Amino acid sequence: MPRYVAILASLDTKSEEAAFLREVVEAEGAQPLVVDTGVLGRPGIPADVAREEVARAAGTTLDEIIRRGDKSHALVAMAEGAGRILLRLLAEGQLGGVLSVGGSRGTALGTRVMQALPVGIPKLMVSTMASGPNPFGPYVGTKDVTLMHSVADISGVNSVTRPIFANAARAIAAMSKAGAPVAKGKPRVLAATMLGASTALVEQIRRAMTTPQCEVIAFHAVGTGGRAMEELVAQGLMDGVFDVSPTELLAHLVGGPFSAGPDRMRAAGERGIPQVVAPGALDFIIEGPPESLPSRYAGRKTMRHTPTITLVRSSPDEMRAVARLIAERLAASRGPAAIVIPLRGFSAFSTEGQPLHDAESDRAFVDAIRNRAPARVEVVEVDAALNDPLVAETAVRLMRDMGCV
Amino acid sequence: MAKKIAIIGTLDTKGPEVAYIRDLIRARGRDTIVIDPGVLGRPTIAADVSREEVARAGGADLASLIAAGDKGRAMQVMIEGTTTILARLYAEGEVGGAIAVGGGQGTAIGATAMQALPIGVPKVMVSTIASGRNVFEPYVGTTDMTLMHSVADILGVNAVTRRVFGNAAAAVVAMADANEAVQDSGKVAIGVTMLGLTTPCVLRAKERLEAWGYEIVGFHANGTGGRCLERLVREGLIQGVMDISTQELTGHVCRGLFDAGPERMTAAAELGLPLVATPAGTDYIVLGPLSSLSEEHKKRPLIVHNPNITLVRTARDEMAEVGRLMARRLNAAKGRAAVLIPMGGFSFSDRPGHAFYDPDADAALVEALEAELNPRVELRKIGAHVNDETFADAVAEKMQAFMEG
Repeated sequence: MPRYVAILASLDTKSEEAAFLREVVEAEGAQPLVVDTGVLGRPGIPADVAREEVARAAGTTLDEIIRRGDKSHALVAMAEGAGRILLRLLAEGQLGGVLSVGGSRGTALGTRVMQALPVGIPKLMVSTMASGPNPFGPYVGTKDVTLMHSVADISGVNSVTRPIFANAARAIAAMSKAGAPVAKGKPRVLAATMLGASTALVEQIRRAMTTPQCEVIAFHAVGTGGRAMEELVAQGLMDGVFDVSPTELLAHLVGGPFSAGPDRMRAAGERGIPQVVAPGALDFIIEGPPESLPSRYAGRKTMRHTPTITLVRSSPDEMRAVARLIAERLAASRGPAAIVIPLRGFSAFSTEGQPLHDAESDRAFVDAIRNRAPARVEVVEVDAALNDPLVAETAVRLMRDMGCV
Repeated sequence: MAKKIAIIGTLDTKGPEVAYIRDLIRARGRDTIVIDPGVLGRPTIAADVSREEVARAGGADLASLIAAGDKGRAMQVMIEGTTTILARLYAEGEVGGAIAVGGGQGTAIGATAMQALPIGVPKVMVSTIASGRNVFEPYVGTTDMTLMHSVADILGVNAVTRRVFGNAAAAVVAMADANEAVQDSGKVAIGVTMLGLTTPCVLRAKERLEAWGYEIVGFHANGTGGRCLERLVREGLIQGVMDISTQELTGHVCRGLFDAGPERMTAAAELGLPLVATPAGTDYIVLGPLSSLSEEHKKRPLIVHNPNITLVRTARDEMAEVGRLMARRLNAAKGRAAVLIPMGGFSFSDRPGHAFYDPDADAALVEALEAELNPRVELRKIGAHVNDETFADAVAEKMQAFMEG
């Protein structure tokens, strides 16, 4: 039996578009399921999943939502209901993908539902909002939400929107046959956190660990990447983590735009899988352009990374704070953990002679982690810089010692 | 024979990923053309269009580009080269769609180059950048770009990226199939500009013209929408323009957020397509948060639209400047052109008792038009508010008369 392609639409205003999408999806041999997420007005075409049913799935009723008269509440409730219905279909093996079209409200609702689904299930949002100064973050979150710009406003099927909707409908139909939630492609899957400044290290680790039985997946530690990794670890996809660029912890403690929130470096400990931690890229705080730097950074070493990114050298106090946080996280871990410390610089930018070199701050981290790391966590100091092969070799050995080969 | 799919990726760092996507696309029955815009390192798989060719198409020699060591210039050359090659392959009928995969640099190259393809031709960008605080604008422009977040870093084909690449390959092939099969409605399409405060007028005019058998394509006059309209007129998808909401002219003159650049209201005029304009929505400037406003702006009538958007009344001299700009645009029209003025007010809030009511400022725009317009361009003052049905009917009837005459 073909799996459903869910089409999310507010059928009071977007029925013409939904009917067109349904027709194309069906013509492609996929099974459309029109879910009405609208609240006001009357549906222009019959839904496969009625708005009343969506409201009920959210634990409320359509009448109650209308009575409250709060548009934002209605959006959240209908997204919640639609999300639960799709997760149920997914659990039954009946969901192939999700397609939605909308303006600002439709996009907020559609992508909220999509973000509730696992990576790998195709998610396609055709939107007026996928343009201009709008940021990706709210619509994409940590998932593989795909956004297609509608170019014209979404008000009817016309010479501009017809080819775009047709592309979207055929794309989701094709993806629904190919797509599936992420699953292990090899017996052993390891995660690694990475930044430009630690890419060389991660590449060496990846090369050393990659075998027909094992693969390493890198996550860009700029907020989204760390959160995506935590989620995939929590889902059970990973067998071990090389958390060698835990810079999002520093952002969480100190500042800068790239925090991954308060829950970084928790999931591996909770799952009890092995972790190798290194202070990679903890030698700097990632901030915006120079003119935006908070005054508390006055007098620090800084480095212009791109026109919009400035790296600010982390202080001894900040190093101690982040060392404490790492020690706490590892103490709470149910699984084994080890730490490798490169004594000659935590990134390519702070080795001797480089702009962010600061032996005193680095030392503060080493002393604090030595004092506070639980006894069962092996701490290995390496007389080399982060991207030196010695560090990669040590990290790989520690992971293997913990049973991850 | 089915047209090929172009694959853009820097083959020094993204060779295995490009090869994986290439094989999936071929397995779906489409041949591929791999374009390598990489500069450093060595390609790890064979390209169909080599980096040397890309550099030449960008007006430089690869070896001297590397020797010069200027990363910014190298990027620019490779972007230009890739764009030129892709546009040529499309024009020659070789290529029916494109997909690119990359991080920061790869996305800057791929998503810029793909903007050269017309609307409807698939453009799929798989990117680490399609997340977080990054904004759509540079990667989407005025096109139907499709951006898929890679979730994990693009560093190998693994449990996460395998799913994402698989979906992307399925999508681009299906979209190319869809695009080659799409049939237009046979109706004549009229582009219309809309905004929240002028919606009743647009909806009424749309209804009238649809009843006469025309197809209406709406564009949100928020800076991006106006640029999309201009582009689609030039691509030949639109046969007439009903420029009801000309807020973007105010945005351009007064440096508001909704500025569509200096080309606004030029395409229909240059191509000689029927053009009916109104000054609806020119009565206010769209600016950022209240706290960011200048003292002078704060003294004017204003509406806090939401925490990020403040609407400020356009002053008399600014209205005159907008009128002069509109007159220049209409005077350049090679076809039929008219401007209709709703003398009762230019937006929802421009009427007695509302924040932006200022007949004296509105009159400045009308006087400027009267002073500067060619006699060829019809100017009609209508004793109604913009959102009165009589005004919408007058606009629709003028448009219909132009289209039929």
